[in-house]
Amino acid sequence: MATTAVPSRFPRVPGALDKLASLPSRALTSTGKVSWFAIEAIKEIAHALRYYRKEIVRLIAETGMGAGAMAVVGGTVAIVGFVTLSAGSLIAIQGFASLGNIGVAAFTGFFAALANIRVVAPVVSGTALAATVGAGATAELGAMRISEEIDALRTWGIDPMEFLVLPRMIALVVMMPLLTLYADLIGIMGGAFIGVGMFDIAASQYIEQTLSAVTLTQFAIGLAKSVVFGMIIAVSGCFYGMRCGRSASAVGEAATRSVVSGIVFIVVADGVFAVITNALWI
Amino acid sequence: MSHEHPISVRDISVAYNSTRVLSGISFSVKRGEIFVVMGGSGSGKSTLMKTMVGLLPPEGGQVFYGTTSFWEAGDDLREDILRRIGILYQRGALWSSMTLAENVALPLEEFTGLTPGEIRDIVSFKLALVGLSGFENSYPSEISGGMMKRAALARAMALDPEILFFDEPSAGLDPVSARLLDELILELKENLKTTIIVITHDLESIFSIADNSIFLDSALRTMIASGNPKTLLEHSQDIRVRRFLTRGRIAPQVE
Repeated sequence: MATTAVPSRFPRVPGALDKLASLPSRALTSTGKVSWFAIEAIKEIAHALRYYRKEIVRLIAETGMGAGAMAVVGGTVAIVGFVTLSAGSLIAIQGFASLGNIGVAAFTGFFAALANIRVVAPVVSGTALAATVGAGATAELGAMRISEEIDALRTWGIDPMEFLVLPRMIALVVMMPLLTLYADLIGIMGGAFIGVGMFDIAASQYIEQTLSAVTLTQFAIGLAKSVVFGMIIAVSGCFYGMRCGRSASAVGEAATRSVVSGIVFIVVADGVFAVITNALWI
Repeated sequence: MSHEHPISVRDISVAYNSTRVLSGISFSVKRGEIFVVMGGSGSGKSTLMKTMVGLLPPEGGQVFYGTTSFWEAGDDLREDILRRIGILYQRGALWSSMTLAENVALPLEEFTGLTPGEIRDIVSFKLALVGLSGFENSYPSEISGGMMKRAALARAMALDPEILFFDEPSAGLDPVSARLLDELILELKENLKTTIIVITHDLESIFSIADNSIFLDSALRTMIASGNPKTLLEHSQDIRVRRFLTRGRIAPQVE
């Protein structure tokens, strides 16, 4: 007797569960692949620094000021400035409300400055860069794969890791701390506008509180994070760009993956930093 | 590569994953001739070129540059061979973040000990050779498709290669630009004695430039004919070859 397969009207639960169960192993595998990719690139750093300095300088400028459409809307500096100004202001508002509940609203300046330089500036700048420069790198490399530009490099005997990946890594590692310093300043200013302008905290008191929070150690922690985040954004952006398929939809998919994994790795790295600095009492 | 046949292919087969896309390909290209790899869409022409220029390892068989088997050679020897060939890709493949002059200059900066002044002179000469004087500072996105291909040709010729590969040179060009590119290919053969391998299905181009050719069949995924295309048109008894060379109009003597 012939039987007819009836398509299920319900989601395939076992399949979805399988996928969920394999998530940790897939995450570990892709972390391993991305890490290996980074190691492969870093091995060639001496050659890249010697021969591709022009490309590195071009990419540093592009990372800081943006390129193409990004430059039209003011570049990366403007985006990081806008995002950290907003975040700094929000921290001051929330800090004033929360600290006010326990009667220490005067410490708003200290709280806002510490949160900004230690966590908010590096994480927010990193996230903004992952979504702009990181995604841009993925899309650019993906488009270069489609237009055979990467094949052209290979057949000249020019290693794409040296010519395309490493300059982007160096550019991001150089630019990220500078952007983070700038984000520190803008975030603290945002907090000050709110604390002094909106909540009538005395300017001298706010500045004093801020200066007591901004120690060299706190700055160093924020900058160390920014270097690691810069590396994460570059590796993630380039990894997905170099491996994306040769179609427009594949480029879009790769850009999405690069942003998602960049942000996830930034959050994980921030967590690792928090655990380490807590264990070291700094 | 001072061999009578600077490039020879011996029984090459190529597979993507487990799917075989080419097999049993053998031919030799004579020094200074224009050799055309022709066939319909999906017949594996570009795949064959990728295997010949080191982008796609073969499943079996060998590619010889002179007497050196490319895929059995060490990395240094392979790089040495690659620097003696030039490739014009289907879409030009100019590096989009660089000007035309920077595109042509990069191989010179990377592989020669020339001074910046000497490199500038060579770049100007190569761009003038393809009719692009004055466009040194233009970016690939600022020029037309035909100009892009000519600029890519200038880059392919940067290191004065002994062998030039052209992948679908007339693709995306208007008939006049395609004709000009064919004339440029003939000039390269006449003036520089360069060995030229052209991957194409453009019949006008095939009949005007080819000295010798092979025909790849998309159904059998192998070569089914070889020789001068005009001779093949007149004498081939294979209906698939005749159909291709007559744009699908089967010649009367075969029907």
